Amino acid sequence: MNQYLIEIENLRFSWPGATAPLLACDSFCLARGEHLFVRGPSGSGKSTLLGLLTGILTPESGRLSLMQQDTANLSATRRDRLRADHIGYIFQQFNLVPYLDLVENIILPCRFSQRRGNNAERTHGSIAAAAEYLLRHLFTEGELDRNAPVANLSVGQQQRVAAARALIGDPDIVIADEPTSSLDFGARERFVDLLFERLEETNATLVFVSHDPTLGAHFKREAGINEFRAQAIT
Amino acid sequence: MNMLRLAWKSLLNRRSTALLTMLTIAVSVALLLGVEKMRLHARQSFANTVSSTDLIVGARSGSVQLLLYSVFRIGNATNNISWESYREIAALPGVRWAIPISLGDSHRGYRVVGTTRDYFEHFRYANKRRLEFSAGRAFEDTYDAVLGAEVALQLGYQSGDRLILTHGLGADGLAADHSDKPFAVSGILAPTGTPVDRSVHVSLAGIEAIHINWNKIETNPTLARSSSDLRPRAITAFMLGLDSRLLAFKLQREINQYAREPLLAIFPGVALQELWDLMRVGEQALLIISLLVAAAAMVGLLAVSLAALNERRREMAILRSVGASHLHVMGLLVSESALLTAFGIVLGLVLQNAVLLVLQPWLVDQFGLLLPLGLPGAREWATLGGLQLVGILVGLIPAWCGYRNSLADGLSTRL
Repeated sequence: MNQYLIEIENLRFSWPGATAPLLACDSFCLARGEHLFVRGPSGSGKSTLLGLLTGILTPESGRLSLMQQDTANLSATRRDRLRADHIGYIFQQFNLVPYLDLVENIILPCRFSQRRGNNAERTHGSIAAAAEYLLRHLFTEGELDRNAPVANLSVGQQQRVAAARALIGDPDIVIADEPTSSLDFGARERFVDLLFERLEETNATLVFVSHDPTLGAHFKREAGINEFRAQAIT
Repeated sequence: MNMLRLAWKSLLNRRSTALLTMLTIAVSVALLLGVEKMRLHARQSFANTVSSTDLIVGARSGSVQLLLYSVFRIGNATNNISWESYREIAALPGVRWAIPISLGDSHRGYRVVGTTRDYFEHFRYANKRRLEFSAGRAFEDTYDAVLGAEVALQLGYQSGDRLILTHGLGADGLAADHSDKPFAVSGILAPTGTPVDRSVHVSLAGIEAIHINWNKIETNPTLARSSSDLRPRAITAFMLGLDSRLLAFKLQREINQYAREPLLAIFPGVALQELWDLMRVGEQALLIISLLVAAAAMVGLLAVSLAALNERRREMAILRSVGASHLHVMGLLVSESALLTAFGIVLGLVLQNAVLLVLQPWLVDQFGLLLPLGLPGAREWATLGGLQLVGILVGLIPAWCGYRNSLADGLSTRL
């Protein structure tokens, strides 16, 4: 039987004070290992959708399950724990904590989640070795100055460090919010390829949001943001 | 996740503002501790100055004034008392001992105390400790002098050295020197930490002798040395030790109603208490000022934390995305304030001791106040604990604002 990591049923969501719901989705599910591309311009409710998918927000009505747990039934702390244990997240840019060094940034999720720390240790022997493994696969030999402050890395390098952070400890779901929109074409293709390679390895589910429809070609499954909106935008 | 570690790294990243904030807190801590230390040790050293003395008697003036000039050698007597009155009161039943004191001369800035050998026998300081000689012995001859430890140390005197007393309390003026009557050091007292260390003790006869023919043109020391006219005519004050404490009240009343001349008898402890009451206003003013400085430092801490908060929304969103709860975010911000306060306190302790190290000689010199270096006492630790608590509470304000921000922002990526 196929195991759905994300399941939506009759979901409605509106921000307080709004007259009509912003998001509405009657049925949606995403299985383990599936890669979904969500296409939509900024300001289309993407942030709200991602807030729901990471357990930061909960539906107004209906059901949204992450890892087979209805988020509406979980306390805020439990949802934070769920996010720490099962979800890796990549921002559009400025992904890194400026006062932590490269490796500290990558292993940050293992500090908040025992589970991901244990996963990293089980697969690679130690958390540091896991970070090392990811760095080796995301960067070419000698490309990276390990001791430089993370703010000095190029945007493309920062995004790959962010990917390493999202992947460490083998989370079940990786959510990427426009991770390539500040990269040029070459770097963008390379980033998506590297990300896919790593995801194959752990059979993780991916939700990839972008306004750039050309990236859709990499994905087997694609959806417009309109599928989640109460009122379609053109 | 240990948010303290994260807070530490975050502070390191903003080390210049963090250092300045810490320094502000350190200065306030140093001030607070300095004022407390001064208060405590001024009291202690004052209280240590006299012990086992039941009554102090002098010419009628204020009790605090009498205490100050007779025991602390601060200020001057307005009037003397007659030798006859002293003899009569000292002979009253129940009086165990009496020490006369005659003030008014000095030696290179140190006060000269005319007294009797009873002084070395009966005077007590601190916890009923008696005076000890580190060299020599009590005066015997008219022109013998016993030096306090500090006088000997500072002026480099040893037993047998000669010294010249000065009339009045000014620095050595040639005209006022009793240069015709040099004294010889017969003994040096061990340090006591009281004004005794800064006194030159001579016999009452010696005081009389140097004032014979004073201001007359011909001088004849050999003549003055002889005989019975060295009997003192007046003294400045005297201390009494009684057989029983209960007697003190009766005797005090008798002395205060003494018919032959207006006298004042005081209990040293009571007068000391009056002195504290006088000083309390000043103490409290100092304490309030140092508390206000501490409050200002805390406001500074708050301002710095709040100012940084807006630029850190991104950082909070990142932490939230990797699984940090709101409590983690708040914990980070509170930890930062707590750490800044803690380091400020430690730096303040160091600063206070450093300043004290530099000022110590001057304080001893000017006020006879020996403020020891080292860690503060329980009371100060409690104050510092309170400050640390305030630092943590102050941290709750940016933590609350940070919580509101991250609630509004979620993982959205403004900026």
